[in-house]
Amino acid sequence: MKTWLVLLFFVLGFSFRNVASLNSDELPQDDEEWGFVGRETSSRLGGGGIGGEKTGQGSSSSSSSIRNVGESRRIGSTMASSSTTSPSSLGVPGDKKIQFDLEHCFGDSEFTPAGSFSARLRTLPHGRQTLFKLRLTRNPFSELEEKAFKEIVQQNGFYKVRVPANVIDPGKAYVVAAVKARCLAAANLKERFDLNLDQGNVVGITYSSAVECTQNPHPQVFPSDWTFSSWIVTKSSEQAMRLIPMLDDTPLMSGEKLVTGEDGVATKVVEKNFWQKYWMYILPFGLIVINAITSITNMPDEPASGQAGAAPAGAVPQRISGAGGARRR
Amino acid sequence: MAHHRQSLNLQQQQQQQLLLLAFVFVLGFLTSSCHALYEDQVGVWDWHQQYIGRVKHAVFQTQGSGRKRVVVATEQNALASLNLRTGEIYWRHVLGESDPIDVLELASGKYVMTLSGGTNVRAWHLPDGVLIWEAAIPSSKGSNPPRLVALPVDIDNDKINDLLVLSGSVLTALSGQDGTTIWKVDISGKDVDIRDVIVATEELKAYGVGFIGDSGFTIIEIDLHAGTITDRKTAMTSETLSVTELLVSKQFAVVLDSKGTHLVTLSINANGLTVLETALSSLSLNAVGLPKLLPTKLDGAISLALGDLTAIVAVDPTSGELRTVETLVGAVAVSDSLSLANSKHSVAIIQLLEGGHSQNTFSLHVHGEDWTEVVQKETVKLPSHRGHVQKVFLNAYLRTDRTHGFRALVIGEDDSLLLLQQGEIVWTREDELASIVDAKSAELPLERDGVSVAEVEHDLAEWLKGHFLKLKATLFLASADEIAAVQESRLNQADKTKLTRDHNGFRKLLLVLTKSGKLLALHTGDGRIVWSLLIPGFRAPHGGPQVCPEKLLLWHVPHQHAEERPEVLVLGKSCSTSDFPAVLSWVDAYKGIELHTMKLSYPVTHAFGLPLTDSSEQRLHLFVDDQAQAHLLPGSEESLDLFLKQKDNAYFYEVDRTKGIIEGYGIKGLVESSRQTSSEGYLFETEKLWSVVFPEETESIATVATRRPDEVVHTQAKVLGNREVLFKYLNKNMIFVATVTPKSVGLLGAASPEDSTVVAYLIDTVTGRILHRVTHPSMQGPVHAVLSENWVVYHYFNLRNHRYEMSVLETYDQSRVGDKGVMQLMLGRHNASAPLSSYSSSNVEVKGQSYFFTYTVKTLTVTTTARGITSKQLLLGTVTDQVLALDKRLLDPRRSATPTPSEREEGILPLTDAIPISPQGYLTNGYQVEGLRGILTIPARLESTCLVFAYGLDLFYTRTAPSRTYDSLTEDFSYALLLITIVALLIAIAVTYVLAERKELAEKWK
Repeated sequence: MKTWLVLLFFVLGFSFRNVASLNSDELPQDDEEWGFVGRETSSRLGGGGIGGEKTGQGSSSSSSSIRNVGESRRIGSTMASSSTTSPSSLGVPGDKKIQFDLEHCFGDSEFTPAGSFSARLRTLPHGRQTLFKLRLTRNPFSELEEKAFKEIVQQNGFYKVRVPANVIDPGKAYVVAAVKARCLAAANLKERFDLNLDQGNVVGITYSSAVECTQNPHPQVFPSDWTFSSWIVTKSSEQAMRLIPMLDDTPLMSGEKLVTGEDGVATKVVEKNFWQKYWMYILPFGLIVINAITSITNMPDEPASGQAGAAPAGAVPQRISGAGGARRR
Repeated sequence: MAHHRQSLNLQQQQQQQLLLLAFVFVLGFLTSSCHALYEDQVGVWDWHQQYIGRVKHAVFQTQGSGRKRVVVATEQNALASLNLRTGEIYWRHVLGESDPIDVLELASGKYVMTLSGGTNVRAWHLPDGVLIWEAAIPSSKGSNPPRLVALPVDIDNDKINDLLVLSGSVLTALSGQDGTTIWKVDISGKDVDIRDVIVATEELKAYGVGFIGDSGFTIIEIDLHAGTITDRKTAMTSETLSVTELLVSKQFAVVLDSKGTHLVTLSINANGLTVLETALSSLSLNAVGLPKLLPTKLDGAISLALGDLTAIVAVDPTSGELRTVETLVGAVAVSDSLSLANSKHSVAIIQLLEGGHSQNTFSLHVHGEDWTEVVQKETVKLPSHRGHVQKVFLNAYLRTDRTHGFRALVIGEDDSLLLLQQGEIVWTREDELASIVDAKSAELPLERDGVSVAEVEHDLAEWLKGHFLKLKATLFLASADEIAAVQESRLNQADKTKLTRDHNGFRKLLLVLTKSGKLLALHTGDGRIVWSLLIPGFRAPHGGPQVCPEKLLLWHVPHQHAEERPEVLVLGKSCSTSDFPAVLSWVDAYKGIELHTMKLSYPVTHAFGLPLTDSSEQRLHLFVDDQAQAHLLPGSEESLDLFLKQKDNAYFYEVDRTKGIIEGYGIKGLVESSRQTSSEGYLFETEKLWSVVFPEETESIATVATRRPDEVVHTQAKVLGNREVLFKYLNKNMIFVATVTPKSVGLLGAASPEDSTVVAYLIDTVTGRILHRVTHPSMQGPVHAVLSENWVVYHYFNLRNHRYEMSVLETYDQSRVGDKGVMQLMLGRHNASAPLSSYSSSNVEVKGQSYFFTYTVKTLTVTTTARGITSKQLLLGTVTDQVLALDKRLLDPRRSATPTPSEREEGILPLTDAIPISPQGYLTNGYQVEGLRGILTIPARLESTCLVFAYGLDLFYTRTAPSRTYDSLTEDFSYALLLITIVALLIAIAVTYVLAERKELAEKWK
């Protein structure tokens, strides 16, 4: 029970991340303009969509809306290709609608179109560009593709996708990613794209099934529903913290002083007091002094007992012991 | 009476105090741990060797009463003066990487003149190598090799002979005194291409000889005093000339025609220029392929290479007629002409003796003035691992009978340097060790029954005596001689250099592969060469395509069957083309014998060992060819079965630095037809699974760091001060990639801080998942990085603060964050033994921090220990060619300005903006590993200790214990002192016992 809760939190955490990375500063009317009202919720929930999948309802209806959207987008794509900018209808001047193809391949086959991503490109004042509001319109599998997919599920092969590395001005370079077809089938075609974006470039994609798939070997199952449900996460680069030289301006503590070392850098040094510096000399000296004092205090007793002042101390015990010994005997 | 007793007690007290003091004193000695090295510890377990590299120019200094020496310049840009009697280095200078020495000359008997890159002329003082002056000549157009002529005359009247430098089309006269320019003249004209300068001393004229277009010669006469062109002469030829090589001597110039069928001779005499064309066939030289003029400077002759043939053709200076004087077959080296005192000339020709292949025997002929006369004839047998002679430099000396004797300095095929005299090898320098390509370590054989330790370590009496001496030295009682004896015994410990395994795993073989295709085994004890092998499979036939050794792979490392021999596999590729099939060679690591060699039918782009071994402990290797197909070796049924089981989990990746792409591949099915040719490996189809494409305009790959495949990690969890657990994200397939802005790849200042960025990536190479991506704006490469366990440390330059920086990234697995406590770590659901899959959705937390760092770094690596328990040290090759050890704790992203008490307990240091460098951190102590290129760390069997081998032009080896030697006593631990103390204490106990008994008895009697 507890683990389920943890898992739920975990999933929720992911969905929050998703929202955060999608730049949720969008205006509601945009979605209407893009015809994404249904899609919006489903794809957003797509994050939470795993949770939705657990309840077993809603996912099919939302994915069907994706398909509808997909068809409508394909008509739109021809329009978009003729003129990609429509600043008048957008909130921020300088924003640009762009779209690029998602292509797929089954095992060794050629890459064929599988859908299209649409996004908005904003050029920031200092020339940097950012991509945001990334949406995917997935084409449903044709019969041939369905067959090919089943084949690679049987072979335990990879289902691969690719997008152009430069989405603004697509060139020859493509970013490729793959998923075990069995994983995707087991997840009922619930897929997840993690796109690493750098301005207008896709650096890398992680393509995985939305449901964890770590079993090895993967069991062979076919999807019960042949509609895709996509979950897109965009990631941009983290910026490293700028390292600022630390200036040591804390005030000097009592007993500290600045000492300039060989390298010319002043360092704080706690000044030792007299005892700390010289204890190793004082201690033996003290012992010697104590010794001397005790021997001196002993000495005046000797003349009092009638002995010569300079009589060797060693002679005394000798004599005593000798006398004692004689007495014992 | 009472007083007496008192004083007695006092005395006893004093004695006790003294005893106590002595005991503390003794204890202090026993436990004194050393944090740095003492003078007498130098050389006990470290060694340092100095090399210069492959010699390309050599000049002898044997006249006069001074020490006989030879000054050499090498391909590794080192300039050195060697003792001609022993080969020892008198002095050495290593110039920068972009500072190759083109010309080496001796001037005025005490200066060494060098010309680097046609622009830098330097004068060095011959006896001590001090740089006297340096002059920069503005570089001018033209790619011809520059020339430097040390004039035998003084033209600026300062009593020091001057120099002429031809660089591009500009001829410059430099003062021999201080390198100032006396005059400068541009000798180029329309279509004129001056190649060489000759000097006529008597007339005080210099002549520039070169081409006009490609069908004519031109000679320019220059007045040496004024530096003006006084005359130009031209002579046209009917043939078009091959303008790549022009041989010029005082009286003639020779060039080949463009078809390679004729030799065109230009005779220079008082009447003018005469051109004569001679067909090679008329010289009875049948061209095999294109002939080539050799740049050897012969007096009155030239040398030609025609395929396998080397011909020496004499030139008649007046008529320009040619005459073949010698045709030599096979591996031949011809020296430059050596002029002797009585205006005679000699040339040495060294040639492999017929049938001398198996013996590697050479004949050394020294020809006199007339080519028919042979003044000296010797036969020299070189060790087989030296290969053929590549180059020979001739030097003459006066024999006791006043005749001329000759000695020859020769360069072997393995780049070693040898001095031959009277048919003997006088000395050898192993200069191939200056160009190590790859290094690995191998275990030594086990101790045989016959050789016991006692035999080597003498008897007990001697052992005790040694320790007694040591004790005396420790207590400062030993005489100077005894101290010397102690030091001697320390340095020459018999067990240090034994060729068997030791208990602590300090004795190992260092297998080093050099650029010349030689594999050597060095003993870690003293650095001596145990065996060396010029890999026969890599040796090119005379003039054939060169095979460059590339990689050393541990093919067979026996653990279970320790009596078996380890084998290494050397991978070689063509030096020039990338589609040349690779060559493999298997070598026995104990004996240094090539077991077998194979020429593959496919080129290899990269090769790696798999974490699989067959029943005979042979490691499975995968070779990827240029079609991205994988070949599995060894080609045995067993290895195939093993691999097929793991095939679905096998992935590899390729980094294309030019395109800025990293691609990941999975293994598909076996190509059945390859079962027939399984000796070349089983062929597997591959499938491209992922790619990471770095934006072309903004990022280019600067460095890729991978984890050591044999790294051992002790624990997956890090227990914090508050008893919580952090789980390290230990992904074996994670790599670190750093990219830099392409504009800023060049020199510092090539790009402004605004458009110069370093981006660091952590990438999983199975799925292509970018685990982390962090940008460092205003930073510039070069980036050096090291990846170990769950952390990566990288080094780059900060353009804003104009300082170097080091950053650390540590990865932690947050998906296990639920198991917080230590108990849950052991018993919880995600305990430490749960497997980690690249396919599972990971939740990696990356902690990072940056610090300033003082030095440029040449190479970066990390210590490794046998079980990974000992803390780690980063080893940096600094710009001063030293190895600096830095505690990993200094680079901990969890450092904060004010650590909490629990963090302090954990050992986290307070945050500072810069990494402090302690002078005791230099592992190289006072040495410099000149031209440092790589550091190899090898775990010893003793957990606390790591062996470090640094190589560049020099070699250095030492041991380091990052957490101190907590599992063994130090070398200087005095066993004798311990024994004596114990014995003394026992006696004292016995004596005091008896005394106490007596006293007690006395008391009772009272």
